[in-house]
Amino acid sequence: MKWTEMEVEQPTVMTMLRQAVKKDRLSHAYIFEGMHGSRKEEAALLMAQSIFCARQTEGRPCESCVECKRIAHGNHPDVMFLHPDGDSIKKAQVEALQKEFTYKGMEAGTKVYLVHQADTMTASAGNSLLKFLEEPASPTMAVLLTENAHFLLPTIQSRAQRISFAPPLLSTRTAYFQEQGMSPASAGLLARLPDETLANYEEESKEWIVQGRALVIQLISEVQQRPQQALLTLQEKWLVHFKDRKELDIGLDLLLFWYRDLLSVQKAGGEFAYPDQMQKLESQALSITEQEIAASMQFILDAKRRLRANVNNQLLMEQLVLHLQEGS
Amino acid sequence: MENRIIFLIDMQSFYANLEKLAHPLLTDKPVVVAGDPSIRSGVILAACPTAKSYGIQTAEPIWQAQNKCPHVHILKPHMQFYVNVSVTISSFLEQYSAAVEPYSIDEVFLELPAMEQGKAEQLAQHIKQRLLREIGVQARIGIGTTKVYAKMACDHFAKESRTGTAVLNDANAAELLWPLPIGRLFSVGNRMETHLLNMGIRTIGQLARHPLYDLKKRWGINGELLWQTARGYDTSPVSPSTHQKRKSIGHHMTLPRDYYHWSEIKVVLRELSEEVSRRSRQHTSLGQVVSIGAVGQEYGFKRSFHRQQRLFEPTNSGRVIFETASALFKEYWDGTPIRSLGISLSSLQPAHYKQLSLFDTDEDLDSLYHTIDQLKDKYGMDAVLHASSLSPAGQAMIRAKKIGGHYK
Amino acid sequence: MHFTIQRDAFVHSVQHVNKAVSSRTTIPILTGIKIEATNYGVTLTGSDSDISIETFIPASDGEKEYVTIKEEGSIVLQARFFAEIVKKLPGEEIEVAVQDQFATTLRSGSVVFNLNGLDPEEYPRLPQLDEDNHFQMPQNLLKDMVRQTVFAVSTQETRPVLTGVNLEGEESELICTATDSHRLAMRKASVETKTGAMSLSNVVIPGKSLNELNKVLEDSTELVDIIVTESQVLFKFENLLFFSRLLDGKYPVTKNMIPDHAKTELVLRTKELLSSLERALLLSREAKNNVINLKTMNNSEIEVSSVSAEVGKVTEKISCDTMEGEELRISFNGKNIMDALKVIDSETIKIRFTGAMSPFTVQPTDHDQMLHLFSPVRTY
Repeated sequence: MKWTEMEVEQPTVMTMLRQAVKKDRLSHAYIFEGMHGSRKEEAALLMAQSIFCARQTEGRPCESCVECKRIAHGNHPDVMFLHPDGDSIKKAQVEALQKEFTYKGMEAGTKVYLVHQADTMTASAGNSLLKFLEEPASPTMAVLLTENAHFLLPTIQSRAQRISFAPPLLSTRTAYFQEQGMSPASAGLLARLPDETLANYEEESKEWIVQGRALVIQLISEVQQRPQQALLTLQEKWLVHFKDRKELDIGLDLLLFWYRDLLSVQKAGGEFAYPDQMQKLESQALSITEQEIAASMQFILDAKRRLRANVNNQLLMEQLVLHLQEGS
Repeated sequence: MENRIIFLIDMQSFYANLEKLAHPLLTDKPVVVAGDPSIRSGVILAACPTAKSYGIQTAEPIWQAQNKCPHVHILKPHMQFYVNVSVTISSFLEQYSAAVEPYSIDEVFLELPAMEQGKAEQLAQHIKQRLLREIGVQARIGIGTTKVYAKMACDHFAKESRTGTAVLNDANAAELLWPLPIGRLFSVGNRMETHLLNMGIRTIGQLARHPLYDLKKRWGINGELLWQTARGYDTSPVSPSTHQKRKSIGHHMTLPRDYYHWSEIKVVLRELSEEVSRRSRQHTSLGQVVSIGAVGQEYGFKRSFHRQQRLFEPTNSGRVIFETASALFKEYWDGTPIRSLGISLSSLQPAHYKQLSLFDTDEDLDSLYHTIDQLKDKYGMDAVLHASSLSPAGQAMIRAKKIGGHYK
Repeated sequence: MHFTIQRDAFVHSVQHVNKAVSSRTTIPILTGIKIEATNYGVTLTGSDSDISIETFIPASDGEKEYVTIKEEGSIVLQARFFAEIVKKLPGEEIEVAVQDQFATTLRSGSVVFNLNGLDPEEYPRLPQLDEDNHFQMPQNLLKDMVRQTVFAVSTQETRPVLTGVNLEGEESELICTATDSHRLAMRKASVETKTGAMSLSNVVIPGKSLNELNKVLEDSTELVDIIVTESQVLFKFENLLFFSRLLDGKYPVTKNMIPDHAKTELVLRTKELLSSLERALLLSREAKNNVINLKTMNNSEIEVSSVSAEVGKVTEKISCDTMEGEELRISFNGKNIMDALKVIDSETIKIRFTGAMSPFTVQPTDHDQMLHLFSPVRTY
C-alpha cells in the first residue's frame, strides 16, 4: 500500500491530505513543494485516487478499485497529467491543457490536473492556468508540483494552498549510493542531487559526477585566487562538462553545496557534501563572512532561476563567476 | 528651395556588434558572423572592427579569415534578432521625425526639419550617443541636403571622420566629393565604371562637369540619373512608404535609472502603449503585430531582448497593446534591471473600417480615445495621463516637457 | 469473452467507431476500441474523449443472425491494428476469443491473429441514459439545424464558449444559437419531448463535435433521440450512439440582442443578393476586409458596392420586392452575410435594419424559425 508507505515518509503531509479528503475540505489549487526524492508525485497521485476512489476509507484510497487503477495508469479521462516535454512545458501541451479547461469533464464530477515541474511552465501558460483557477466553471482541482514554490508566478503562489514536503533523509540516501559502489565523497554528492536527474545518467553518471565535482573544486579555488583563469576554465572545461541546461543545473547544485559546506564550517557542524575537502573549506571559511556566503548562495539560486528563463548558459555562468568573485 | 536635412544612419558592423551584445565576453575579441561556421568555405557576412583590424573583410571565405587571424570567433547569424533590432531602431528614430525610411537592415534615412548645419551635426552626435547607450549599436551618420549626399557622406567621409559623422552639400561637394575616383560614386557598378573610364571620366567631378546631353544620348534616363547623382541632385522624399519593410509605429524610452520591479516597468509599458496607440490613430492605422524590446544592464553587461506577438485581429487600442506587450515582457524578462524599453505596432493596415461587435460596444472607448487625443493635441502630452503615470516610475510627465523643450 | 460475428457487419461497425479514435490522445486506453459481448449482441466503442461513438450489432434482427455469443465479456484492442485487421480477414465470419491476461484471438478462415488487449475496466464510462432531458426529432431536421447554425461559431479560443452551439429548450421548443460576436445564427424547431416538459439552458456543444455528427446524420425522416446529461450530450440512432462532451462556461444571453423594431425593411430574392455579394466580394476580398456597402435608392432599389484601392470599384443595383422605412447607408462584412444566405432555403428574405451603426437581421420570409443577426462595419 503506497499510502501507508507515504505516511511513514511524509507523516505531516499525508495526515493533512487525508483529513482534507475525509472532511471534504479540499482546496481547488495546491502547490506541492519538495525536493526530488520527497515523493510528492506519488502523494499527488494518491490524493487524486482518494478523491475518486469508491472504497476510500478515512481519506485513504483503496488503491485496487477500478478508479484507483485507472488513475495510476493515466487512463482516467478526468485526471490529466502534464509533464514537461524536454526542458519546459511546451506550447502545444499548454494549448491542450487550455482546451481541456474549456470542456466539461467526461464522466462528470471533479476534474483534476497534476502539473509536474510546474516551474517550467512559461508565464503565459501560468497565466492561463491562473485565470482558470480564479473562475473554475465546474468542480476542479489543480496540483502544481515544484522543487521550489518561489519559481512559480507570485499570483499563482497566493491563490494556491502550499504543502511542503520534508526532504528525504540524507543518511539513507548516502548509504544507498555507497552500496552502489560509489566513493563516500561522490555518494554524498549524489545523495544531495535530485532523483530524476540521476535517473538519466545511471552508469555514466558516476564518472561524470566525479569529474563535475573536481571541476567545482577547481572553479571555486580559481574564483578566489586567479579570477582571470576562472573565466577560461568556464569556457574550456565547465561548459564542456555541463553541456545543457539540465546538466548545468546539476553543476549549480554542486556549487551550492560547496557554499553550504562553508556555512557549516563557520557554524561548526552539519553534514558535509565535500567532507574530504575540509582543509580547503576551513581555510576559505576564514576569509569570507557569513553575509558573503549568503550572498553567494543567493547568486547561485538566482542563476538557477534564470536558467529557466532561456538565458544563454555561457553568459549566465560568466555573470555568476563575476558575482562570486565580488562576494569573496 | 529650403535646404533639406537628411541623415543616413549606418549601423557599424551591425551583425557582428549585435552578436557582441549577446556575448559580452567577446567585446574586445575579433568576431565575425558567417553563414555556416562549420563549413570552412562559408562566407563572412560581417566582421567587427577588431576582426577588420586583422585584415578580415566581409564576403571572404572563412578559411581566409582564419589564415589572417587564427583566433577569430566565428558565430552563426541570428537574422530575426537583427531584424527586430532594426525595427526597434526605426521606431527609436521616429522620436525625431516621422520621415524614417529604412534603406537596408543596417541603414536608415531620417529627414529632419530645416536647421543650421552646426545644429544638425550636434543632433547627429546626440543620436549616435543615444543609439550606443540605449540600443547598444555603433552608428555612423552622413548628413546631406539630399539622400545621395547623405549616403555618400556616410560611405566616404563619416568612416574616416573622428566623430563618425560627415556633411556633404553643394557648398563642399566640389572640394570633397569631386576628386574621388568615379567608381566610388553611389550606384556606379563595375561595368558602368569601365564604361566611364573608357570615356575618359575618371573622377566624380569629371562626370559632374560632363555634358548632360552626351550621357542622355548614351544611356537615356539612366544617364541623366547618373549625372544627377554626381551633382547630388535627388528630390526623392524620405518616406516610410518608399520601402516595403517600413511598416511599424513605435515608441521607445530610456529610463532615468534602472528599473528593477515589474510594478515600475508596468507603468512605463502602459505609457509606451498609449503613445503607440495614439500615433496609430494619428496615422489612421491598425496593427496586428505587437513587438517589445527591452535593454537591461547588470554587472556591466548589456542584455537585451526583442519579441513580438501576432494578434487575432488588428488593433490600435492602447489597452490591447499594453496587455500583449506585458505578457511578452513577463514571459521573456529574466529579472535583469531594465534600462530602456520600446513597443511597436506593425503589420499595419488602414483603419478605415471597424467591425462592430454584437456584445460589448467599443463606441464609448473610441470616443474616449478620440477626446484624449484632442486634449493632448491642444494642451500637450501631459494633459491626460493614466493615474499610474503620477507614480515615481512614470515618465510621461517629465518627457512631455523635455521633448518639447528640446526639439520644438 | 467468446463470439463469432458476420464479417461485413463487424467491419462496418468498426469503421464507424474508429472515426472517433485519435492517435494523438494522451490517455493510453483511448488508443483502443472497446468490444463488449452480451447475449443481446456486440457493442463497440471508440473515443477521443471529446466525442465517443458506440455501435451495436444485435445477435439477430429477426431476419438474419449476426452474432453467436458463446461467452459474454469485454476487451479493449488497439484501434490502429484491429481496424486494419478485420478489414483484411478472408472469411465471412470472424471468431473473437479472449484468454487470460487480455490476450485475444481473432480467427477467420484459416487465419489467426493473436493480439494483446487492454483491461476493459479501465475504459472511460459513458454517461447513462438520463431520462430527464430527452427529446426526439427527425434526422433531416437535426441535420438542417446543425448546418444552419454551426458555420457561425467562433474559431478563436479567446472566448471558448463561443466555439460551440448553444441549446435552449422550453416546453417543446428547441433553440440553437451560434455566434462569433460579429454575427449570430439562430434556429428554432419544435421537438417531441419524451419526458413531459423539457428545460434546457446553457447546453453548449462544441462546433467540432457537431461537424463530426453531421457526417453521421442522414437525410431521412427517421427519428433521432437527443439526451442531455450533466457533462455530455447523446444522439441516439438505431444501433449507433454519438456522445459529445459539452463546453464549460456561461453562454452569453443572446435573446435581448435581437432588435424588436425596424427603421428600414427590405424583402428581396435570396439568390439575387447572394450572387451580387459574390461579385462585390471579388474586389473587397482583395482589400482583405470583405467590406460591402449597401445604400437604399428610390423606386425600391438598393445599391451594393465595394471598393479596393488597388483594383477598383464595383456597383450593382438590385430591385427589392418591397422596401419600407427610412433611407439608409450601411457597411458590413459581405462574407458573413453570404454564409448565412447559403443556409437559408427560402426564396426570398427579409432584412430589417435599425440604423447604420446598429445590428440588423436577415430572415427567411416563409417561416419564422430562423434568424441571422449581424453587426455592421463602421467606416471612417
